[in-house]
Amino acid sequence: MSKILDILKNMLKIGRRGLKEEMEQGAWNAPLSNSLETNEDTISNAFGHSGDLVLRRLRLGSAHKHEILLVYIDGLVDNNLISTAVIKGILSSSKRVSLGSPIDFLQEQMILAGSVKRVSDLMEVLGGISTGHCVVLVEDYCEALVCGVQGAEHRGIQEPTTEVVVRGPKEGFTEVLRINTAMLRRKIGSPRLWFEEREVGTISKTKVSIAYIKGVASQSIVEEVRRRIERITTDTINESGQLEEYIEDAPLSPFPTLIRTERPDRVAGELMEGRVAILTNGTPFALILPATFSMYLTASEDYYERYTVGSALRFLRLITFFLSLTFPSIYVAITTFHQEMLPTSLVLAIAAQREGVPFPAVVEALLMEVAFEILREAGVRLPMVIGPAISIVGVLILGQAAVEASLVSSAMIIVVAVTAIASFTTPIYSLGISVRLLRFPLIILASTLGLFGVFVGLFMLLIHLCSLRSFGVPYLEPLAPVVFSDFKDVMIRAPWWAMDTRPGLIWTERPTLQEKQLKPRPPKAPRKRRKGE
Amino acid sequence: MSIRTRRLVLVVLILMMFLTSCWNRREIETLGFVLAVGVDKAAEEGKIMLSVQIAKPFALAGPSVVAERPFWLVSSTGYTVFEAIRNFLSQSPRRPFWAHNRFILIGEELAREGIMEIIDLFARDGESRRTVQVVIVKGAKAVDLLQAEFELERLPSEGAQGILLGSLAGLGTTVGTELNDLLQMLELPGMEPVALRAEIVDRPPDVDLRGQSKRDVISTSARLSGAAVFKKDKLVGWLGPKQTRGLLWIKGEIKGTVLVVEYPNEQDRLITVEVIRASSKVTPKIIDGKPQIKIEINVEGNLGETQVFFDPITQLEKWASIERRVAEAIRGEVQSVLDAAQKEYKSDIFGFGTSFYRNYYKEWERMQADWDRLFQELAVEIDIRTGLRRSGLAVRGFLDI
Amino acid sequence: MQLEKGRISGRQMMALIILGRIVSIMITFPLITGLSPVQDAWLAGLVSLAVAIPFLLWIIKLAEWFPDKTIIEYAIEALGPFFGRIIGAAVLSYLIWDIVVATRSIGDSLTVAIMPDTPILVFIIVLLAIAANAARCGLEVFSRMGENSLFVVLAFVLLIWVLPYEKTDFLRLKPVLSQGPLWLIRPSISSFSFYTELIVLGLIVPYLNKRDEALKYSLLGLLISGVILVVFAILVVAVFGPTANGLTMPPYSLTRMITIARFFERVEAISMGVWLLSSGINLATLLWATAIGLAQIFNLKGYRFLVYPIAALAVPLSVVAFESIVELERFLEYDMWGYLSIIMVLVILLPLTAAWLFRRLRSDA
Repeated sequence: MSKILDILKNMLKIGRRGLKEEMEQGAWNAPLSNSLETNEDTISNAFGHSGDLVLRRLRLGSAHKHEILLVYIDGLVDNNLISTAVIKGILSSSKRVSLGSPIDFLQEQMILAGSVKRVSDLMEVLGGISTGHCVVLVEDYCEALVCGVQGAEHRGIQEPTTEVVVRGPKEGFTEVLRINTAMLRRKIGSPRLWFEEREVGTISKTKVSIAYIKGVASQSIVEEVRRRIERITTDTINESGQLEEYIEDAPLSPFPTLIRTERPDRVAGELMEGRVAILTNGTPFALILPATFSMYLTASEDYYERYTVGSALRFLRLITFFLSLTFPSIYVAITTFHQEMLPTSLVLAIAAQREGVPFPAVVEALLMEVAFEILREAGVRLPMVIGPAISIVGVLILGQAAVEASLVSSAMIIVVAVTAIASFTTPIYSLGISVRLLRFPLIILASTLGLFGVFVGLFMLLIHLCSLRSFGVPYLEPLAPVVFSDFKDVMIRAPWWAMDTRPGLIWTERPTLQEKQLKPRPPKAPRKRRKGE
Repeated sequence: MSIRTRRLVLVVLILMMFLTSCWNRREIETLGFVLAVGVDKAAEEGKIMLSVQIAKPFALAGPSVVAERPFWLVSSTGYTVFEAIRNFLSQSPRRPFWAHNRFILIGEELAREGIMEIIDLFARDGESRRTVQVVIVKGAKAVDLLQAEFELERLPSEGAQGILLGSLAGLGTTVGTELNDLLQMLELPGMEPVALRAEIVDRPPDVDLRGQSKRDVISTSARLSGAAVFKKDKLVGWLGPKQTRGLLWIKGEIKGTVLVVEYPNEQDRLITVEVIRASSKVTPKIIDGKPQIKIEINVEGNLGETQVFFDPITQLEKWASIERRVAEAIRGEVQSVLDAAQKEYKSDIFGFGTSFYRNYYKEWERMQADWDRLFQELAVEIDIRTGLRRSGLAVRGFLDI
Repeated sequence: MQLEKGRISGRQMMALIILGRIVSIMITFPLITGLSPVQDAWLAGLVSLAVAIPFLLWIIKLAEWFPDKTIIEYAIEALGPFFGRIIGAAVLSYLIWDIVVATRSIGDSLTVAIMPDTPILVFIIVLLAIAANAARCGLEVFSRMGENSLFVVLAFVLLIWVLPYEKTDFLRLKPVLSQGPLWLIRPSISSFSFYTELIVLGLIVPYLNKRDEALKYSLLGLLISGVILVVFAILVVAVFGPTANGLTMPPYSLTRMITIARFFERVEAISMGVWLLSSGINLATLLWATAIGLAQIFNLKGYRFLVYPIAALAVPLSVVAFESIVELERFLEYDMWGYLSIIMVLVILLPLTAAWLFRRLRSDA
């Protein structure tokens, strides 16, 4: 018995602590050797003689004294740069190698690449090769130069597909970290925009960049983010969503506590408010934290259109959010328990529709909701050519046919359709999905306890929301601990000249956004000149 | 307790709800929506007969609208109202659902014996509303009136509602009494209830239409006008349309009506005055230890129609004369209802006693036991002021023949 | 102090007070039931409000004399471990009574009004479960929820005041004081119990962010709830006249009279939502206070684990305490609750004040 426990414990131990070390143990923790031959073999073996590994021998200088080995991965490097910066630099050296080692010579005078780093550790060499650097090894020397010549093919800057705006910048992040950070720098020209880079994932070695504006973001939050990211010891991080799950505050809650966005203008805006962003290499989705609930219902467009439009749209979104959560359950509750609430003609109309339907209202509701989820999912996965056809089929024919076959009532179809449309108005997709799932328990509660059940469900949700914190900030701020000065960005969007203080007063270090009295005024009429002036 | 256990409890709670069998669940198609209810004396001794109009939804708004009567009339009997209601379950596949009931009709025979025994359920039960109208059926049983239908509305309760609201707003010869009002009129010291009167119109003899019938022939309709006078909870008499209007003048509840007066010096030429606003003030007074009431009525109207050429700009005294005649007409109606209430029915339907209760409490305590007699001898002073304001789009009449 | 690390603002405390009073007002409104003549009920409400103000001042002053300590803690400190704990037990038993009465009231109301066939046990269990859940989240969480629920609830109350306008007739409030002013004493006493529940503040005030806000916000809360009570008393009589004292749940019946353009009728199911919200938070507050008090009496390290057992205890107590709704009504209206509350409160507060005065005199001497 105890033996079994020991085995179990050992398994757990490996899982927890040893992974990082285990991966880095073994043959790759060796220093470089002098011999080029050995190095070449080691590197080839490490990569398993992969087809895209290029090993090129050169001779340095006109004296052809030193043998050089170039190692890089074809596809990850910019071929132009390799030839012009590295190879040309090496081959065209007519000078003799002056004093100092050829490594120094190469590093300081010959190689025309942007970043050249000198390493002596095999791990770093291998790491450099896998990330698109070109490694230069010299015979008889156990040091290597890692030159930055990255230039892989990647998707160009396009309009973000998931967050479309009518008015506003139309560029979205791409999968390359460097391009994303550059886009942010273009929007924020201050040197106070700091990027802290980390590598996460023991095998994938994904580069992750923590972005914040020094002096505006709260140091404690940045500290916390750093701590949580450094704590991760998994093999791979593919997408920021994975990262999100490792660092979020309430892993069991259906509500997301970080915001995922594809838009650099949104990230820049939130950074200016004092939040912290995390950019991940390999995905265009950046994470923004700390997130409060009101942020999930705002689109960047609210800030670019006039404030009346922005406020009205926000209000509308709030209503539709609530609708998408509760409409089916309220419908079921009222028609099943509280028929007295409907006006007489409506109740008779609904009763007439439900005459032939064999199922109780609950079953109808659940069936239609599930059917709609199936349709939605199918619509996303379908190849684009068949997409429109399916939607027409789904909506018109199936729905109409279902009504005529007396399987469902028309009122239910309307309810489900309205709910579905309402759920798509949530700007941040992750919230929309979670809410969609929450609908089902509410429907079930409605069917057992009527409106009382619905209210009980909402009460529990509200308590849960009140208890959530995102990196220390209460989730329902500014509604939950009521901070009046932050109201101007929640339900309504105050005009820009009225937003004197940063919303999010409680965590930033720099509360004032702008001077007061910025409301535009028409210029005063020039004073009439009196005589003699 | 960790989060896990908290979630577990939540799940258990939810499961618990599955295991229960939702006691109050009623699928909407299993309900019989009651539109109007009638209470009568049953043929058997000591029992009441309850009749309900239950709506047929598929005849109203279903996928195929059928030209049949949109309701089903069914009766049941019992010793009390609640028992009669439960007895419906032996006849109706759907249980009567009272939340949309609009009218309670009470047959004359039952009303004369006292309505106190039958209204308790409607006030106490949670399903029924307190805003239902109470109507007394004159000269017939309530169940007969429930066969009435109205043109222009499919549901008879909607039709009756429309008539009631319309005549309250424009004619002034009906009294709207909600259950809430009725209960208060019964309990208030110094007040006797009144309720709406309904009569059956055009009822062909010996035709009982409780079965199906095509709707293009409406054989029974109802007229809602006048009022029923009660003493305590027993019906004692009726008020005609003009008397009812007099009652409303006193209560100040006229929202709009029309008065026809004779043109000065011309007997058969008539002027119609449209009353647009009326208010009243009832002031109780004690003079020499005897109670007296002063009623002040303020009326505003427009010149609605003339049968004779009439130019008020040159004949301003005619304008004032018409105002006086209107006041006379109103005084006539008020006096007639006062006479009816004081002499004939001996029932204080105006609430004069209540105004003493509210303003002269000490004296009221003395007078209360004797109020019946005191009311009959009550001296009422009526003061009517009328103002004729506008005359439509024309200042003078059109043809000077 | 280590028991609850959260701190709430004055406004949140005010929200908790008002929500607790709203429960009593909107659900059973014992002030009116059985009162005759009913039209002077609002005056009785005013009188008890006036008397409640010094009572509140008393509680707050006591809290100020022993800053940062809950009433249990300073009972122990002022009166010694034995008598202090007895007083603490008195406080706790009062709170538990409060929980039982509140639970039973809303359970009965839900059963009568909304879903008659559902056994009351379902409502009681569900309600106490969600309240316990909220209480365990900590003071900050449910007071946050209270703060923004307050807005919704007050908006709803205003709506209920305004919408039945066409059914009101303010003449029904006459004659005023027909029985003479001394008659007001009895109903004022029985409605005073409405305010003695504020003794729970003794356990909340130490957790305020800014201590000097205690007086201002609790007074504000008291006044607002008093005003709501009085206005409801006026409105119910204006709509129902002398029949008002026969109603089981007057404000609920008031919402049932609302008709807007003959379309929006019967919206009282929404008032059920408001009941649920306010009583959920009220029960959460009471459960939390009882748990904290219990933990302090027995010098326990934490209080969270106590919440569910207390709630579980309250369930059978609520069912058993009153056999029928008539008993409940008699208890609430006919002075028992009123006198019981006053006695409990005096039993609790007098010795504490005496002890404090004693101390002061001794230290001065």
